[in-house]
Amino acid sequence: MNESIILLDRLHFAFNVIFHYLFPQLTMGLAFIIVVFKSIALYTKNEAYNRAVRFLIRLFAVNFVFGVVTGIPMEFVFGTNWAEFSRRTGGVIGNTLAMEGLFAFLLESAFLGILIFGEKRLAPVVHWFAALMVFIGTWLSGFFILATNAWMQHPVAYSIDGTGRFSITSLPEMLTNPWLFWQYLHNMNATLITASFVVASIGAFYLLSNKHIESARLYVRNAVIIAAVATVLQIFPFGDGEARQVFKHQPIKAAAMEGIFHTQKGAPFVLFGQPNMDTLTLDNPIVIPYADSLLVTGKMDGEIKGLSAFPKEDWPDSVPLVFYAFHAMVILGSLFALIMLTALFLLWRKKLFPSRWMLWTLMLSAPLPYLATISGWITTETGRQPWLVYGLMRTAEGASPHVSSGNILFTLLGFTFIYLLMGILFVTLVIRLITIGPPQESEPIKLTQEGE
Amino acid sequence: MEIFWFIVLGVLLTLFIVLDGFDFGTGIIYHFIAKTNDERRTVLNAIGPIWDGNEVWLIIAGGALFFAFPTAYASIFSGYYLALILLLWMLMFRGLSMELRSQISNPLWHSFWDAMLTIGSVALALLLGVALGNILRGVPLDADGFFFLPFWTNFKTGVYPGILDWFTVLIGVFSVVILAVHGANFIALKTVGIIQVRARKIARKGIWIVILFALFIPIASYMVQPILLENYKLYWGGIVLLVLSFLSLLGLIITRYKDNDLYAFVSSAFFIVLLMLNVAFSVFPNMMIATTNPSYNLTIYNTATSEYALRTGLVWYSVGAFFALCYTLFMYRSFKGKVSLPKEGEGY
Repeated sequence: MNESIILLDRLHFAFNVIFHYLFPQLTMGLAFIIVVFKSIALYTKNEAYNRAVRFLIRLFAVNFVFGVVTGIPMEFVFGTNWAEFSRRTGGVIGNTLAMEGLFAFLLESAFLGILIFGEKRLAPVVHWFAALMVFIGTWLSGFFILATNAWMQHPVAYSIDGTGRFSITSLPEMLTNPWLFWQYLHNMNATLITASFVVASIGAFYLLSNKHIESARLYVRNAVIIAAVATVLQIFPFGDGEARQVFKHQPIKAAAMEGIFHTQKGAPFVLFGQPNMDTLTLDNPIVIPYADSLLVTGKMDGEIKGLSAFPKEDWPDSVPLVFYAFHAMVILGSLFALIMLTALFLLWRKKLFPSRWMLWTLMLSAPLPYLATISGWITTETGRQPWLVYGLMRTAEGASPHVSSGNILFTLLGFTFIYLLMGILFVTLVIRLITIGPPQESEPIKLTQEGE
Repeated sequence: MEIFWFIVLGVLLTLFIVLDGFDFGTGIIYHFIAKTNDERRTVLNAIGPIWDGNEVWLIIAGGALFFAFPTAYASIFSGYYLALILLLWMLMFRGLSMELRSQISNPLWHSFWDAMLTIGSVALALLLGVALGNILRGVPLDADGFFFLPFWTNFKTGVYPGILDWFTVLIGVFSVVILAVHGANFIALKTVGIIQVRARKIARKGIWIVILFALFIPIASYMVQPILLENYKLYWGGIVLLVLSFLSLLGLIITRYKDNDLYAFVSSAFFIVLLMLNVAFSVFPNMMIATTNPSYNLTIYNTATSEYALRTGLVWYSVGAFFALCYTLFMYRSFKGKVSLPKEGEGY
């Protein structure tokens, strides 16, 4: 297969999926926060929570629409650009992808309508139930998509026929893929981090501008508590668990992530550096001695396999990208825990709301979890190369055999243009939404104001 | 088992075309039936709450094709590469046009998204018809089971046609007309006053164009792809289908001229269902007919996934489809009756 075709197809998919995932990573986490707010409102009968959550629901709805609109192409591009991959693996991953549409997508769409339009008409407990169902729908959706990805990372429950076609042998086994456990926890917890940072950021913005104080305090307080828990859990046990399974099952990816070129005992943890692919060394390294061996094997002098222990044709084609993406994620993840633990401490000492510097930090850090999540996914997907299905099917075999590079470039450029427009539109709408803000205390309920 | 999934796929696609078809149709006739902002908002509120639910059936049909017939999914999606990507872009713009129009209250903003809605709807109806035309005509499948079609070559049918040729364009235009009638029937059912009057008038005129096409298309199809007649020769059920199609068209004319909006809508829905049944009947058991060599045909047998997957799929798909159906019925119940225009700033 022509290399330029593969490269274009990969860029095509990467661009589409990264842009798409900007939206679900917020909606999945935000759905949880909405449930938290609705539950507190229901339990304590505190109307302030109901007022505050109405704005979050509107924010959710805008993100949801963009998520759906950019999500439909994902189901198509498997077939359009990766036809040979679809032909061979459709018998397995077709199951989980179809289940996502049939169960999760329908569930979320159905109850979202009720969540948006139903508060006036329905009993509080029914409205709370709708929020719960939207939460379950979005997290189920994430589950089926991750089950698909987990199978590509760590294939289970399949058989292969003479023409290279995979067939599923056990659906329950595919859905309980051991790989999925840490990946699901790690990824869903990441959505909580994204959403809580965004909610904290909006709250901090209102506090700093002295508007919507009542709702803003609820946003900041609850988001900081959720984020503090989530950021710590993300490092241990979720991030740790995910990293361990990569070291165990995908040692080449692990070596690329950590920038370890040669097998060594007592490997250091690299904080910073640039992989040099000519000399197979790390330029400008800043390291913590022995830390990597200690983390992975539990022993100071534990052996860590380096890239050179494996045949070069099995290396990821861009080791530096895997290295940078992984380090960006780890450094950002540590920073998140630091920020949120500090904020939590200030909250406990009742000094958070007057600390303008901390509010500024919260307000400005909203984009960072997006960066961390994208980095994490680049690590796992670029690190899986050169495999499409780990150990079984190479990426070079997967593209559509009859689609020329000119046609791929044409649609890639088209998507770029459309997503650029949609990105601008999205930002405009969100800014408008934030400018209007949550309803004030004396205001009557205006649920459908400004449409959805 | 393969036959069962072929039927499931047919049912899902037909549901999509009948349901989303009337909101495409509404988009097509939008500028003719609604002139002022209030009229346009009324029309949008008729389709606004249900369009995305209707589109879900496309996703579910796509999922079913991917899962049950992966080889066909791979071949069809990569072969119609350009048409499908264009379809996606149109679906995106059309969806956004309805959701974003109400976000900013400015006449220019409204006009822009109104235009997007109509362009998107016409293009989608045309593309869906063209897609059906391609299925009927056949495509230049290679020995590896794949193909690629450019948008057009010389607009002639033959071994190496384009996505667009005289035949597929004919079916495409037919699809625009029939969906416009279907949409007009829906709007006549959901509205009152001047919009209803205009919609009825458009539906009546449209029916005569539909009849013109309906006379010509079977002959054209036979000319382009003689294989299509085989099943009609083999099984007597084909005659029943043809008779029923004729009857539903007759029913459509009568109910429309009696201004019985409900039955007119039901008739146009039935007519579309029967058209789809005829398409499925005539191509069965093929998923894709090869113009190159009949032995390259993609059938439901050589593209299906394993027996185990088809069987387990039967269980969870039935459960899922049941939920989906409940949801659809619930949604239509919540929005039944004539649309009333919500206050400015609410609804669509």
